[in-house]
Amino acid sequence: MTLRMEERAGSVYTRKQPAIQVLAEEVGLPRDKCVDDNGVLFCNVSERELAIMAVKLHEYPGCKLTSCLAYDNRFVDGFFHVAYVFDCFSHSKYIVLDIRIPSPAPVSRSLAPKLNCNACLWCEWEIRDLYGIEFREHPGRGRLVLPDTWPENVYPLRKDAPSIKIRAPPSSTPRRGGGKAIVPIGPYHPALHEPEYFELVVEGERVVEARYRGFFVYRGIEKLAEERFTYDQVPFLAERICGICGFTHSCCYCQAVEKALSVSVPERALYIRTLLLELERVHSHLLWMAIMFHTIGYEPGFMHLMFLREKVMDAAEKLTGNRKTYGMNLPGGVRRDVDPRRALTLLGELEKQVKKALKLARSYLEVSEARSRIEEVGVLSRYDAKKHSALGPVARASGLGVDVRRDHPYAAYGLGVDVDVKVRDEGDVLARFLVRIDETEESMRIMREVLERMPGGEIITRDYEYKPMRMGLSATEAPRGEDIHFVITGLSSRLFRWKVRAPSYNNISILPIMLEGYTLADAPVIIASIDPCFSCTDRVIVVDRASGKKRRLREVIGE
Amino acid sequence: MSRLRVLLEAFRGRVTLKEYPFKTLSAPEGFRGLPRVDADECIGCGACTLICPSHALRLVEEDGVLVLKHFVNRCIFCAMCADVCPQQAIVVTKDYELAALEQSELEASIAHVMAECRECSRRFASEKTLEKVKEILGDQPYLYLCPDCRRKFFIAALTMGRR
Repeated sequence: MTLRMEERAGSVYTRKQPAIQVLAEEVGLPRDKCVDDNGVLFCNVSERELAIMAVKLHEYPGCKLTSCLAYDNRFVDGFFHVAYVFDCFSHSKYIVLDIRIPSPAPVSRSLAPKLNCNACLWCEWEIRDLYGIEFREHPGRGRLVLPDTWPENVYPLRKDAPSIKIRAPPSSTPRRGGGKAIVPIGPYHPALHEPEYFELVVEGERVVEARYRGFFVYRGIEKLAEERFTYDQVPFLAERICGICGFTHSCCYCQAVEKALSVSVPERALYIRTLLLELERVHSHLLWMAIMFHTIGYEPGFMHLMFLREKVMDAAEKLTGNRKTYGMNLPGGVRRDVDPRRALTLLGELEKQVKKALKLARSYLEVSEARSRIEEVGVLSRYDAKKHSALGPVARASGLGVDVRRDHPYAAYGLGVDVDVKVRDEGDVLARFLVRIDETEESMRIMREVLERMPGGEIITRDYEYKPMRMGLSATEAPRGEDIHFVITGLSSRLFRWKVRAPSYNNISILPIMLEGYTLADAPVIIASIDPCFSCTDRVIVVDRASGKKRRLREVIGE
Repeated sequence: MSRLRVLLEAFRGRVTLKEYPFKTLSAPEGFRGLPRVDADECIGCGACTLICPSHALRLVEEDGVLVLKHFVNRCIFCAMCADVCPQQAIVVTKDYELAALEQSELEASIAHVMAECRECSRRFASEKTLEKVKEILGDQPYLYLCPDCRRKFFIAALTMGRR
């Protein structure tokens, strides 16, 4: 399978040399310090090497920083570790640059100002909150993830974190306005089903600055998994991170464990996963389209699309035993078989409905009242999309053709099911709409291909051994973009570290750039356009995800 | 033109409401609803309580009786318990109307007689579990000893020869 990936990367990007060699030549990746593990390069580097390499990698055309994470390894080697994850999409590789940080008073140097990348800003900020690792020159003030009332010097994800019973008094953060009006929205918007707090600084009608304070529902799902769940119970927790794209989370988690333990999953299971991933994408995109129409006040679009989306949910119920595609994944495969012939009949019916929904969506977009609300609104340039590491349809609507399904093939995408990545260059909300319409069509095609090619055989393997202290990093293309799960296995069937990075995390951090310069009335539309999933970002159990109305984003660089 | 199309679509009447709850809606084939534990088949081994991700199934000792408790309000309907049950005593039904007025209506429990340790007469596991073990493994010397006594006797047996 690894060979196949190399071939694919070669055919798409006309590169013949192995990725590690090219990267060593072009960005100076230290080859002797890197281990290649199923498409992920784990490199142990020093802090100085990191500073040099990170900038080179992030500026390299086919590569961008996608996330960073930390783990508390003090009881193993005496150090905190911080790992920066780079998505080298042109070479089908993930590069994990791992640095060690000495334990008492851990300090590192922030990469955020150097890379000028909002995604990096947020993930370093999160590490500071949760692990107490100080990042020099990091521009963020206050807290990102933890509530303001959280006691000082208590870092919940450290392995020796005490249990917290006492609440510290709330702090009062001064609000800065500077003569400009601030429009606050939140912390619980009446029209939304998720908690978030936005502050839009406006001059007249124009938004000049946007701030976001989120993570109100951060409940430490990662800690919960590390403390109480065994590794094969975590998929049921992972799929509850998001109420919309649950399957992609459990799939991504299972893949990470499978990579860590070198499990070879039966092909049939991979095909079933692909089928359900695409089904989930279809329903998620239809929901997004409906909510987008709702946000711009065009209710016929909302009603019709929600009605037709229900057919997709019915199909999911018939395939998996539940409206949501829950309870299907386990490390090693899937739990329920799909009969391709029955599923094809189901799909034939579904195709008609989805086709109708997309035709309707296209004709609604022709209505000038609807179109004028989203055309040339919230433009994100390709340059900004890459620099700040935009993901999924947001990136693809800005001309940055990244798609995990093609760049880092997983499930059946690595077995010859090809994906035609839809890219548009306009970068506005309309482009995001059209990209999603095209993707829904593509998903329907992929589902048919998967069912026609589905091989027979087992659907799950239990033929592997659980080993402690193995590392695995996996990515899937969720409907909103690249979803990353990082796993370190631990003792007694529990995880040592589980890190989840949902796609909305990066995309919400870019919102201020999209919002600035547009009017207050555009703000809800722009925010809804990234398909924000606040609870995913906060990593928490949620039942429903709503779109944005007025929102606003949080302190950005150079505030 | 496009407005006209939208208008036409809006006029095309569709009845989307269903007469639920006046007419019952049946769940589709393969639907995962309420898992039901067969009290006669259950042996109280606790395999389901170990696999249950949400801890909806628990094995507790109450006044010398081993009780398997199912808290339906914690259940996430993943059906892992049905997969692991060695007796196939757990069946996933299509039952989805689970609203209740009282918390107690959402709890089901099955009591099991506990076996006494032959040495210290401590109660340690359900009698049915031991019967099942006996059925599979035959008569074992340590079968009717509690874990502590088992350990003690085993170590004693090992060290006896050396003394």
